[in-house]
Amino acid sequence: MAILDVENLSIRFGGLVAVDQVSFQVMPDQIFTIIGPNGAGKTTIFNLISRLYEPTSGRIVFKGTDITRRPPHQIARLGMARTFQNIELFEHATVLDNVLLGRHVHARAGFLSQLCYLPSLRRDEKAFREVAEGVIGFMDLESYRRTPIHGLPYGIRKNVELARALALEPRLLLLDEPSSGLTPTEARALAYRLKAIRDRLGIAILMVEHNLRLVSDVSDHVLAVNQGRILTSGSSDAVQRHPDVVRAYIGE
Amino acid sequence: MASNDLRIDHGQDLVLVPGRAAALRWLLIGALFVALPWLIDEYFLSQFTFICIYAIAGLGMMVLLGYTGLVSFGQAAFLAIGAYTAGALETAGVPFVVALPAAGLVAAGAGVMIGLPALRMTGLFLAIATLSFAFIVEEVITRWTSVTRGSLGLIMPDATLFGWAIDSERKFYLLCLGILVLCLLGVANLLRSPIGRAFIAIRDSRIAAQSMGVNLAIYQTLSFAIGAALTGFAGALLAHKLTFITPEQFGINVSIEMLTLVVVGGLGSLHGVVFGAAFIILLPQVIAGLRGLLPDAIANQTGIETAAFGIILILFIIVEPGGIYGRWQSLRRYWSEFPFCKAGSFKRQRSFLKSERW
Amino acid sequence: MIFLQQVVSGAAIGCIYAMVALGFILIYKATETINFAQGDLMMVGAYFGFTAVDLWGLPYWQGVIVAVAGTAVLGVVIERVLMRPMIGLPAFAIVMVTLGLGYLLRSLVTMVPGWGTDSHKLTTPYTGQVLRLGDLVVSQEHVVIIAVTVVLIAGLYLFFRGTRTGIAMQAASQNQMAAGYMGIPIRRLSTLIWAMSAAVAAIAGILLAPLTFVHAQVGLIGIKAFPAAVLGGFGSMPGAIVGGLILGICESLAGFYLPEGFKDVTAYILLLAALVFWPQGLFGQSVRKKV
Repeated sequence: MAILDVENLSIRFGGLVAVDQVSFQVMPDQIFTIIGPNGAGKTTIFNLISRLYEPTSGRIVFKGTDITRRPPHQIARLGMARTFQNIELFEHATVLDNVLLGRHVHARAGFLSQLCYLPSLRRDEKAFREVAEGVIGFMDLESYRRTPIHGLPYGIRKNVELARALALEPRLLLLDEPSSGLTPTEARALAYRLKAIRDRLGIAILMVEHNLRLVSDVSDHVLAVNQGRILTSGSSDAVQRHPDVVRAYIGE
Repeated sequence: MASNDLRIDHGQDLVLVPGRAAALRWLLIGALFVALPWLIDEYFLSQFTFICIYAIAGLGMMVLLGYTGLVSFGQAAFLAIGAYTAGALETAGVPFVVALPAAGLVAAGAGVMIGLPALRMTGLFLAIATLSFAFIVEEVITRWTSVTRGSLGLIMPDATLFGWAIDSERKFYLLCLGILVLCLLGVANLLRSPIGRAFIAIRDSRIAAQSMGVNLAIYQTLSFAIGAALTGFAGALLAHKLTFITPEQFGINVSIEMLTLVVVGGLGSLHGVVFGAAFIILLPQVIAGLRGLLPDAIANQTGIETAAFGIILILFIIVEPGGIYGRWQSLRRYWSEFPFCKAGSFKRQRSFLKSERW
Repeated sequence: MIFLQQVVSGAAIGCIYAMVALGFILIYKATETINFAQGDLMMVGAYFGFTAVDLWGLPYWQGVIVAVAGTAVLGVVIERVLMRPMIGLPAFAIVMVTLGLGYLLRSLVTMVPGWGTDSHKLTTPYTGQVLRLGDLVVSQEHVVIIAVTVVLIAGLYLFFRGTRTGIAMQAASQNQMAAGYMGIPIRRLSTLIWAMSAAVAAIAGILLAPLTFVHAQVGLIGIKAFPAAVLGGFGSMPGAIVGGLILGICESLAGFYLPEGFKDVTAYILLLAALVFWPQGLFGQSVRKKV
């Protein structure tokens, strides 16, 4: 059973068809990568899945639930977390607070117990911090715990964003260009972490990525898109050798 | 500073005041403020009462603007709604202990009313919408004479607390101080809870907040409700302090005072609320004191307070975006590291809390 | 006939709102911020007019030119001294600075010798005259306001469509960085925009002065220009003019046909209704943040 099932998804901005009849399935134990040249509509597909954009037509099914018309905040509640191409962190909050926001969907305390900081909330908060610390350790962010985001270097911010998404304990992780702006060393660490997320944490990953070495390294399945349409899909090597893909990247 | 950095248990993160030293410091500060009525004369005490009331109102503005990034140019409306709710109820014989929460609740209701349509607005539109709301509220209060007596004004009865009359400046100051402390504790608790993190998330990135499961509609409306309720409490207290209220006391200037309070105090800090309130209340006093020192030609100008207000507002935004609290923190850092401070560490920071909606 | 009478006098006031709204929008398009001191610039313009005409005794039209030029210079000074250091700060910070500037201007005018805290009257050659069109009686002040607004709009239209500077300004308001790379001097344009917006405010102030007297609080009328600008979609100059007219006319009709009290809040009720039911305004366009 697929964890994410996208059927004939399309979106039109004015006269431009940015995503055209795209269908694919992500399995629960997969790292699924979407590649394609700039402007191919990769991020638009992401924004459609995380419900920031309204699709013109098509269906998105996540864990058996049709989420095509659900508001974006419910998507997280169902167990999907995402990162952003240009990093959307909470700039004036600390790393720990950013990661703790990942626990938001698990918060159960009512208004009164938050206003008075009752023992039930205290218990929750302790449990949240245990999860957050686990994620912070996994992402090697211990030394930045209490540092506000503004002023942190780019690579660290990328890690914080991934940590925040992991703290949600999602079933599916959407990563929009996780390696952009990283040094080669950081990119290798990322490859290791992505596999660990799949194998140790059992989280499926859907990502958009440009670094083809990283793509070959970690992907179980690759989907190539250009101008909003699917070119081909399959194993990483087969897709990268596909003549349409080569043409799309290099031009005629 | 350094002593708080080592944590060996998550419980340490969950206390409001970290460490004995800090607790002792707060205790001393608290004791000083409680003893204040016996230390200074009634006129100055009255100024401190105003500071408490303005701090409560400013706390509402801080929750909205400083922590949720929602700008309100109509805070005076909530102040007025609180004042008139308390006034109307107490004139009808309802005791103060009921009228005060009622004032907060009615203001919160108004906050939800303006918060709901505000969901779809960007910062600029929100500013203008709240401004418009405040004008409409002022007009309604002026015209709804059967309840508010319009521009004739409403005389407030003395507050009573479970049969104990709050009939002196001393008692009223202690009452306001107590309510301020309760409000500060409540907001501090909220801010370190999931609600507060959701507010901050909305302030810093609405899109990320949404994608992490924050329901923008609920939390923005909640922020408006809390911000309005706090300002409503302050309105009820202000009505008692002034003993006589008219609609003109809640004009646009008051809304701008509230904005200035949080900006000058320091956006995004609870200390800033108190500093900002002190600034708003004490500035006219300081200027009145300085008049004697200035040459007559300047000292006799009536506009001098307004001018000082404008200049200080401009200077704070250009020179010290962190507000008084930001300045105080860098001073503290300077002294705690003295004489080993790096040249760069005392440099002013040109960072300003952004509100993405602009 | 009374209805038409109300419409015409409403349209005249609407023109004033439209001019102040135009000032907002010029600055908004150039800097993405709102100048809360726009109404106060209008007030200063009226004071300059009063000084030139009544205190210095210049002929009316010369006095007007001096006053408008003087206000434009003030606009340049404000841009240079206050707005330049704010480049790169969030719009909210800039809004607060303009709020502070408003306070400063309102208090400074009362300190100027000869101005003080009293209300003044600006003498014009046309005060007290009326224009008769059949049964319709229009006071000359209203006629002048409407005529000047029409001329001003035509001038601005030609400027933005027909001159290099105007087109460069349009380009800069679309995408400042790209315009900068194309060699458009962004900073100089920003100064010019402030000068223009101050000049338009001064014209509005001088036209309004015969109806309201000249005093420090006259700029508060500028607050009503917000609804006008929002009705027009904030960002569109034709929108601001239509918004101002709608507002002026509705207000005038509300003052006549509705119970007392409605007149003053018509603008705000209209605005809230527009924001709730028509969030993009009459001429607005939606912008989506890219992630």
